[in-house]
Amino acid sequence: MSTYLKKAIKTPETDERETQKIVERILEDVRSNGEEAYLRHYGAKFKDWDQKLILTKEEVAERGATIPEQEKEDLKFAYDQVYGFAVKQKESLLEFETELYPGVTLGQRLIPCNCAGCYIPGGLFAHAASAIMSIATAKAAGVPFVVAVSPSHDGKTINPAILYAVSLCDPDVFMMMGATHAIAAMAYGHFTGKPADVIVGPGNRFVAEAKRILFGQIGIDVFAGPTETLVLADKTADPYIVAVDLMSQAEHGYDSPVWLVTDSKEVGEKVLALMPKVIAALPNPEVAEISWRDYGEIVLCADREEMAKVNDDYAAEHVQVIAEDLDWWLKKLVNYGSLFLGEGCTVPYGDKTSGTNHILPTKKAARYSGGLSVGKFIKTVTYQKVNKEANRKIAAVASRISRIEGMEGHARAADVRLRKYFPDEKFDFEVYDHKPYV
Amino acid sequence: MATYLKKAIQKTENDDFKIRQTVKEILDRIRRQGETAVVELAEQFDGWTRDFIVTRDEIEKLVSQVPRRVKDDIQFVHDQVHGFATRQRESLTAFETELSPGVILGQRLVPCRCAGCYVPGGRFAHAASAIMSVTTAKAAGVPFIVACTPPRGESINPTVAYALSLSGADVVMALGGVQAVASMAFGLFTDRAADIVVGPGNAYVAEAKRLLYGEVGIDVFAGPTESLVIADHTADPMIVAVDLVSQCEHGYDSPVWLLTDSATLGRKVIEIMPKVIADLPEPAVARSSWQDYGEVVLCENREELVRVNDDYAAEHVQVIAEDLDWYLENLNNYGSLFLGEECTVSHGDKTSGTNHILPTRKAARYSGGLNVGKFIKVLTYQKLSKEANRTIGAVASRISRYEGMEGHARAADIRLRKYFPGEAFDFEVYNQKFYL
Repeated sequence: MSTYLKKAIKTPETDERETQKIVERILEDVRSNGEEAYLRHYGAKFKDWDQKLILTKEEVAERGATIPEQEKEDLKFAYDQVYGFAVKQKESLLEFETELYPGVTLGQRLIPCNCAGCYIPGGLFAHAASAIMSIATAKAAGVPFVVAVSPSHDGKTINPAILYAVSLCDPDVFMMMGATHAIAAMAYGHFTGKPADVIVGPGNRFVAEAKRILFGQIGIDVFAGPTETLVLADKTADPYIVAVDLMSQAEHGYDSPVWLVTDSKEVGEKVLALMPKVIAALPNPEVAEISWRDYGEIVLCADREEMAKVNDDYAAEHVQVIAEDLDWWLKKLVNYGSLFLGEGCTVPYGDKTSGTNHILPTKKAARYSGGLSVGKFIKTVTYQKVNKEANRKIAAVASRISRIEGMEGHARAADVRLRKYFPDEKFDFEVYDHKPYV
Repeated sequence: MATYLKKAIQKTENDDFKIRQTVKEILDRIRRQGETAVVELAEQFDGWTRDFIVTRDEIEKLVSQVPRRVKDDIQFVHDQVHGFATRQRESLTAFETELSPGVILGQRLVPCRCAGCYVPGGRFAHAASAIMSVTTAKAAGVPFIVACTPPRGESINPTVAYALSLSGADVVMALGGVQAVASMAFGLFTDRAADIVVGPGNAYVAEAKRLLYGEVGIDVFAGPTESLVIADHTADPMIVAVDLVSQCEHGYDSPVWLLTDSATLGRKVIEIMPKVIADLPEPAVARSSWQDYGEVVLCENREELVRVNDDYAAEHVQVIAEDLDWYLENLNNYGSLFLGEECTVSHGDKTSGTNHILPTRKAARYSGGLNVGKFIKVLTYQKLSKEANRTIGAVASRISRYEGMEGHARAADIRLRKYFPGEAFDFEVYNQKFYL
């Protein structure tokens, strides 16, 4: 039986109903009033607003180029890793054609969506890496038209690090817009004339709710809630590393849960003692203090089997394993968004630069979905060709099953072929004779 | 410019507020009262008062009522669907790559632990649907599969029972509607909450899946089934008409569309549709759906046919025209494609092997249909050597600070200090204080 050395006093829950109302009102406004609704909204939000929502490619490149060289190199490195991994992912998906029964050719095609929308959050941090995660992945997937958006704080421009990352990824359109308005503009194709087929990227609760409401009409990546990290650590783990790693993820927001699951009471207790100190050493410790206090947990398990089981129940967005026998963990764990094996890597590596995507499932969505990958932009569709001879079998079975199911019209679509391709044949089952109207 | 030879007088409604409200209320009630609510709802809607779980014995008894030939046909369908799903599974690969020295990045393909498959009842006995969902989940490697299908009279439909047992469902429940979807999602009666719920159903089932999405994964939004036929002057109008009729029998709101660049063909099909429909033993549904939703669009050339097709983004698309390879190459939006006169939607619906659980209402813009990939999570992992921390740790630290994320930076810094003690860095690297 696992026990808690520390238990959360809150669980991630947003004020859902209120958020939903606000989002629905904005969606209704832009649906009925079109582009004018955005202009009205931003006009009220920004004093002396110049009515500029789209930055041209040149403007993005020019403003992005103002960051220091080192910063450019680092973002370029991150871009190359993320794009490189996405290309490998693309290569891991294959089209095929197969003939399981003579004359019946079945195939699978992989078709990228026509238009993708990528949301890059603003808010507390300058999410340069997020721009890379969504846009570069869409590009690697082969999406022919990509719209990217990110909120401006003054109505005039955006953090140049984000713009540099955007210019590396080269979307077709870049707009300065945030929250519900940004999602709506992409979904309805306002200002671009290109409604997005799929909208991806992390964001605040308004972004997440807008994506949720519009889902169906558009595809989305994952439900993005507050970011989560779970560390699995055994007795070999360095408690300082564990504590710093947990702290690094608790800084995301007041509601970001971090969890430690361990089978070493000693490691658990040391980390528990270290956490307040490591957090207090931050220049702005307030967020991490609150999220650790409210959402942080330390679970003590009997053995690694139980740790794996607890992990799969939490189904966390990020999972780090700082323990012996990493291969065992890689084989055993089934629920996580992205896995960090060994002390040599930590969640911020994946967040920023190592190459795996950081747009990942939260709130247990890892039970049914991985994170953003090229596959989220690619449709797996099927096709078939059947030769005349194969109709003798396929049409006959289709016809009979249709009648068992009570679907006479379906049966006749098979029958009309049996009669046409085998005009003199006698069948030992019901085959309808169409009247010749042509 | 495309013109309409026949235009729908009704459009499929995307948002049915009334249905959404009803489903929300039922889901809330089941959340509050759990199994008790489901028991009451099943009695109210299906008149069902017995256990929901259909026992092995009962399934055997049902299966024994299924005639030999039906069994053979169902077995054939199963083998085709399973064969295709297996090929699909093989088309997805796990990999490990080292893009930068010492940085191992990998992709794993992990099946969901529990899938819920809904098999509709309603006007038809959907034996093929049972195969489409359960067999595909099996081929994906899902270790536990729950299937629900509404009872009809004394039990569930025997053919459906046979299809489910052949496909390998672990638990079969005689349960339909919103309460079935909720029971699978919450793990009621089985204690196994489904990670993903799939399968077609009526508007209530579809809305329940939509509302639960997030808590559980789902396959696609299943609205009324749709068929689009692209036909040129070489097409046999009789075949086209029979195919359109075969798909408008699904329901009063099932749209069928013909796109053609031959006015002669279009007019001929319009002329014979009412006759072909009238020949059906029960023509009412098809007559109404053709009248309300059927369309015939005349295009100038095949490029326009393709453009209009991609706007419709239909669930099923048949091409009865010359140069099939060109269409395969150029069409972008469809759930499943049927190339040439020799195959029809019925072939795919019932037997050829591709899945018939497909995106409707333009969801084909962003999603294919049910396939093994819907049950499989594409997960990533990474391992780094200490030496690789020199690059990755440094870049991660700096980018974190550009972004204003000091905590993130320190998780990188503590490793730089630990792995490279005594090293001088030409950028900010935090010195972790030691407290214990």
